[in-house]
Amino acid sequence: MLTRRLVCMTVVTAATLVAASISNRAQGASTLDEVKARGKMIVGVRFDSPPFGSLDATGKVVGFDIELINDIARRLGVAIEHVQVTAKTRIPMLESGKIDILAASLTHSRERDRVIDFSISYLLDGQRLMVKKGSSIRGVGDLKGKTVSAVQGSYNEALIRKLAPEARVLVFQEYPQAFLALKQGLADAFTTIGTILEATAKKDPDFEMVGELLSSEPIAFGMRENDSKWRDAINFALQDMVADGTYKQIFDRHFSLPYLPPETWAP
Amino acid sequence: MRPNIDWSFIVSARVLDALAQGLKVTLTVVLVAGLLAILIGSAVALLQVSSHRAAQRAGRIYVALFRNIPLLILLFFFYFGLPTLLPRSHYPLVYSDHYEIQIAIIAVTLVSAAFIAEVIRGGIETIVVGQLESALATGLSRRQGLQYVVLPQLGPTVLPGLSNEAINIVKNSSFAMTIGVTELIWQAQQIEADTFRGFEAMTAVTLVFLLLNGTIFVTFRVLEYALRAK
Repeated sequence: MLTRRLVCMTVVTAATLVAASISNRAQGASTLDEVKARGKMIVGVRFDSPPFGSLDATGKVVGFDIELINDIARRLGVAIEHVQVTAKTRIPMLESGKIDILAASLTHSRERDRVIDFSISYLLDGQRLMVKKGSSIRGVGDLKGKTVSAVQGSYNEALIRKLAPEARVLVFQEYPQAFLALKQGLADAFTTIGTILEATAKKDPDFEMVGELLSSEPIAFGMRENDSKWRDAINFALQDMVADGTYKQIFDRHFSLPYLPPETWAP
Repeated sequence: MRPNIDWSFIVSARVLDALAQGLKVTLTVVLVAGLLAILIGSAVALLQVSSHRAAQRAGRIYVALFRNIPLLILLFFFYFGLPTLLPRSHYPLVYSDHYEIQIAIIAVTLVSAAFIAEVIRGGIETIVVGQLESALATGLSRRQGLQYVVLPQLGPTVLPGLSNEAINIVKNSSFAMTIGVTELIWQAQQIEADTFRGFEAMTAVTLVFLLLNGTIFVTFRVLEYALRAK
């Protein structure tokens, strides 16, 4: 009798707790309020994608994404915690509430926008080609009969199939393998966004970028659907960074591209 | 939080197309590797039960090697490592246009053959106790004893083990996505990347795997009963 009562009480308590936690979100409490109450913003970042997010020699996570989001946290007056995400874990981590925002070099697309919301773009990148120095490939027109490596989780694969229908495309799970395939001669070219190729070429001078920009890829922060208060706070902080010059400083530390700032809205 | 899951996406043309393409690749790897693994596995098992010392040792070394090396390492070794030893520019014939599928088949075959060899060896040794000696006593040679007494009884003994191995081959074939083979899970990741609907895509692929492995399981069961009934 006593045990049954205990079981009942436990079940009721658990159910109440679950219901409370669900209704907490269902009431439309913004992530912004949660972050402020917690005093800390939990951010999903990449540990394997220089120049956006990677680990330095001391094991600290560094990169363009990291510096931007750190500065946004500072502007919101909260501390920050970086959590590693990969192409596979980023959406489940965000949807389940384990992280408040994704700063993980996400390419913005309408198809993806049906599942999560995006901030304004904080970088306009574009797809390019990388080859071994001295390669006969000088642009997308020379890819006929050649093999191109790409990374899953990007639009680069679909675009290169469209632009070079007679090329063979090899798609890997992560950047290191796609680049290794080029290095080992299994692929004749490697394609992804220019900023990542630039960082790769800096580390391995045997390889160079060739040809023109093949696409325009807007990079943005990712947030849960239907939380405009949180999205506004992020967008405004990002625009404040552009307005006071912090964004340009961070941009110049990472890229040698022509400076193109994100949009800023009228006050 | 409202769960953001769209179940109708599982039967959308986008997902069904990808599953069909992935299934084709998975089945290619599974069928070719499975057939080769049975052949090589049987040969290795026979080496292990042979009366020649050197043959026994060769069989044992094969099993020790390929049962203990992780499949992922074999895949990476053959795919990314081999071009270091045999640069593509010098040995173009080694590298075909579908090098990654060939490597997937080879790696899965090598590993599965080692496990299959153990299943068959185990089967032979259970039957052998006494029976082979009796066969030898009636004047049959060791080879005849194996051929006419042991092998015919092998079917029902090894089928449950082989059924396990067949299912393992299906699951192991997914490792090939790490070297760019566009099998079922690769397709699911691809849908996830394009649409962020990873939960739905993975659910769809899981159903295909359940169906595939369920078919294998039932086929082997039926075969096992048919052989027992004889």
